[in-house]
Amino acid sequence: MITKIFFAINIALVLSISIVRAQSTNKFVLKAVVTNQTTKQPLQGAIVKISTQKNATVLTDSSGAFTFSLPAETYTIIISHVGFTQKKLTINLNQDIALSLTLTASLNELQEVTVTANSNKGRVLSSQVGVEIIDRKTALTIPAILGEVDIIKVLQLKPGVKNSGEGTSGISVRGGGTDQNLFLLDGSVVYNPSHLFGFFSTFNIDAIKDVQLYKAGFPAEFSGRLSSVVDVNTLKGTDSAFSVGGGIGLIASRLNLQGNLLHKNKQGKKLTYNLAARRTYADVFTSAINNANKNDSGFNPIPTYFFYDMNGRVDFVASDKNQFYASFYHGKDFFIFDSDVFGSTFSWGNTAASLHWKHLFNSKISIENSLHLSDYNYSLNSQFDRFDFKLGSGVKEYSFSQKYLYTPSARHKISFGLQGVYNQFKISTFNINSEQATETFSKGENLNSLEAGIYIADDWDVTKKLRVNIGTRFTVFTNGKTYSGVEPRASVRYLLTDNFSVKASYARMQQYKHLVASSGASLPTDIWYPSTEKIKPEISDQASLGFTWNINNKFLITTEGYYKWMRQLVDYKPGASLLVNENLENEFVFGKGKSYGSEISFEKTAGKLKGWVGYTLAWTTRQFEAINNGKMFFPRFDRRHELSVVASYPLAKRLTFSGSWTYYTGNAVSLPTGRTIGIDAPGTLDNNTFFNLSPVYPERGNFRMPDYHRLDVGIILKLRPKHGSTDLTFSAYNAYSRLNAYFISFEAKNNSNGIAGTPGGYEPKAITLFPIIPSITYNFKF
Amino acid sequence: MNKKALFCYLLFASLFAQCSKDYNIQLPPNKSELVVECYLEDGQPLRALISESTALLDTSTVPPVLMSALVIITHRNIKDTLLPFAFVDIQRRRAYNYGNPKRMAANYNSNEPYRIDVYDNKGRHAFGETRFIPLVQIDSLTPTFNNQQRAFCLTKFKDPNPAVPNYFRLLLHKNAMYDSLRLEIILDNSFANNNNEFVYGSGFDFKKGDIIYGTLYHLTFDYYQYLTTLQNARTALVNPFAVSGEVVTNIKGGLGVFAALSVTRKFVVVP
Repeated sequence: MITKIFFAINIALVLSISIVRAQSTNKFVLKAVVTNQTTKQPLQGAIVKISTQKNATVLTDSSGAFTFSLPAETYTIIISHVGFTQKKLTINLNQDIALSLTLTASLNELQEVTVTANSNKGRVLSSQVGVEIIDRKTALTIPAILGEVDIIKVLQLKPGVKNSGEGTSGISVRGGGTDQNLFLLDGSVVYNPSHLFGFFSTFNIDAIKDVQLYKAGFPAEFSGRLSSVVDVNTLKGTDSAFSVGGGIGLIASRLNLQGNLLHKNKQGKKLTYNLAARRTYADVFTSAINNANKNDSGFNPIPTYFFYDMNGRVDFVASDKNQFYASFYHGKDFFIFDSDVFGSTFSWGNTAASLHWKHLFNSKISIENSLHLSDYNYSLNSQFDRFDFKLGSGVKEYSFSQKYLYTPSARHKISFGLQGVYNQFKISTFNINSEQATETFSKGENLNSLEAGIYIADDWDVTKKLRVNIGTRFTVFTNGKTYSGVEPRASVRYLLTDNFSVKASYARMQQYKHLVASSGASLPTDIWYPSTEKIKPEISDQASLGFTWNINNKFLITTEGYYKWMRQLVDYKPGASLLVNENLENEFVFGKGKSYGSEISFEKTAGKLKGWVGYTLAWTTRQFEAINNGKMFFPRFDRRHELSVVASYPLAKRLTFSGSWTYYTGNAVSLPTGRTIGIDAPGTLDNNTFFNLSPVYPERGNFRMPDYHRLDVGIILKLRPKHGSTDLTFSAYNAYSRLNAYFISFEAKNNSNGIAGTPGGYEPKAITLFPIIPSITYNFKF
Repeated sequence: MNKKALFCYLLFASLFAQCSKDYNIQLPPNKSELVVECYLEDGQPLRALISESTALLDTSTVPPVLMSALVIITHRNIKDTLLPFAFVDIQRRRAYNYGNPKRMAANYNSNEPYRIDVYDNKGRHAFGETRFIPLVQIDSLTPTFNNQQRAFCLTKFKDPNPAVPNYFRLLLHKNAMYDSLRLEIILDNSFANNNNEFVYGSGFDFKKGDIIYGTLYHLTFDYYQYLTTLQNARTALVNPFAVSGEVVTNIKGGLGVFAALSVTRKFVVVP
């Protein structure tokens, strides 16, 4: 049935395109793609002005493209972008024209890094609200823990984005849970975007061009999570024949190969590739230690841990009208424990792959067809005597999408498309194999689901001052029970002056797949579960209002206030049975939540000193009938104040200093306030006391962790090799070594002075993770 | 507790050299509540531990037991009052402060409820209900040796009714019925294999000549929830990845548990 519906929709879309093409007769279309002359990468956010009566202005999109539809005439076009020399050209538009334009980086800007990909002016003009864009250059300048540059951790320095724990790459956006973020890698969903329990993201900086985080005003093409879309775009290979780059760090090394297999092609065809891989190597040292002590009977072997990941992207420019690219990611973590009697291997990882075909029908309409595959799974394999144990969960996703972009005139940019998704969920499978058939065991739940969506949106310049982006999305989901919903989206920008705009937005999002964390932290063992008869889709509605102010193209101030309502949220009930449960949906409870707050960002985008100051004031609450006695509570990611300061400064021609300082008030946690004595509790039957102590947790979110602050500093020293470019990056995470509390534990203490067999007490301890961590990384490119 | 979370915690703990420091914490005020812990067991006298909860960081080493409460167990409209009576079961290492010499005569198939009511001199009233459910026997305890002459014990028992949820607590002790615990597991019948049989192994904890005592409790859902959430709460004190620490109790107006024990035992001498 779903297939038939989509076939019909597809036919309708194609028919509508034909009608549109037939109607476009009196105007000619100017379409162009703007790229960086040095890197050959598309330039997003370039400002394009054309000398019509109204001096029309547009911004280039993520592929560097812009389109005008104008009457026949001679026009002057001015293209500008921060960090690049302005380009001016005159065009006699007497037929449809497609151009490829390049901008040259200006000398004074080449020496340093631009803080954002978008220009100040562009951000004032854009109707998009609640978006943060981080490019790889920005990420490379910001100090990183253990020298591993992580573009997601840079996002955590932006207002409205909270980390899910010290050092982790998990994020909570505007009061959303860590499961409410849609991570996309070239459009493919990455279900668990982290390595090492969240301490590193899956995104290798060598493979990443930029990341766009949408916190509000979500474009209609996106759906599926309540709180954010993290759209990660991979880097195309360079046009040069071949280059090799990478880095050698304290815990991991990277290798990056780029090139163009058709660099000698005279017809303009290109077949570029970008391959990147990295691997940690702590296991090399731990294995050596284990081997050195293998004859020591008292030595406990150190478990082996490592992760690796590989990215690949191949682009083929077949003609001006047809481009293809394939993107691939695979990464895996391994934790191996081996002993004489018990061996165990815990592994988890993602695979994401996609194929894309961009086709230009004519200068007014283009299409991108995509096929995607995503796979996330974890498994715990153990051996004990004659038994083999295997525990695991996972989710696979197969999807296709068609995205159309139709530009009927300079004032309208209409995007529309469709998407189909098929998911396979493998939930808490547990198998025991034995030589004896009667001892075998196999349990688990397998669920499948289908999801489909269509959308349409128009980015419309109503007047010179007023721009409206209005759209809607309709989604259908079925897993035995069928759900559907309309997700309206709207954003408005009004220019009060050329450099000051007021913006507002509204967006509804629906989430049909739920990752319910069994604890406050995100773990690889958390299980994705689809909506079912009992589990309705989660829904959020968010409204926001703010302004953007460009001051002399040097400073940019943006503020935004927001209010988000969330319904049908999912959590586990207290005492939920999560292991080997073939009816896990019976363990879920449902509730509502809301978050509201205000964010302000002050950016310095020009000059030697660049960076930003971001501040967030926010409230987040949850309410579940079956949790906390039905009373409202503050979830773990509720923090009242958050401040970040990020700066980079070139100390000398080859020496750049950077630093970031983060401060936030404590997040809400649930702590016990009371204790009871008892005579029987699990795990206490072998004690020598007559009474055991147990804690009483009266309510959730009843305590605030202490304030957190941390300074990271880094220095990039560019070397002078005979060939290529190299640098040494020094960084110090937590430079003043503040011992921030990660967790408060209560250790039971013995009753050494009281009556024998009577209880002792609890001693509170603050558990801290990272003191100062210096690191050095050698980066090269030849 | 959630074993996956525990596993992740162990990995995490072994990967990072965390440090801890004493922390001067000001916890929210604690509301003291009645705590009832009472187990009915066939052939045993009626007895209970009645206490009240105190502040978590209370430094008192004196157990906060209540000796002025009224404790009544009701079954078939027959009320038995438990009187203040300090009693220590040395063998099981259990202490009670209320008792009645009447021995429990369990009927595991009657499904008739027992009720406990506790009133204290502060006007608090706590009460709960429980019932005996059918016994489940341990079918076998089978020691199996490895090449280092250490044995693990494989315990087998049948799921009495796969059509409905069933809950169990299995204990293995070495050489004494209530001491030297070697295995403790709380599980439901989703762990039964395709033959509706539970097969559960211990570690290589036994050697020739050891006596392995197996104890199997068939749990009501209330008691199962109490045990698992109590285990979670105790874990949550020291594990940042633990599930939430609320304890699900079947005592209304207070904390603790009132449970009728459907328990069977078996032992084997390791050959």
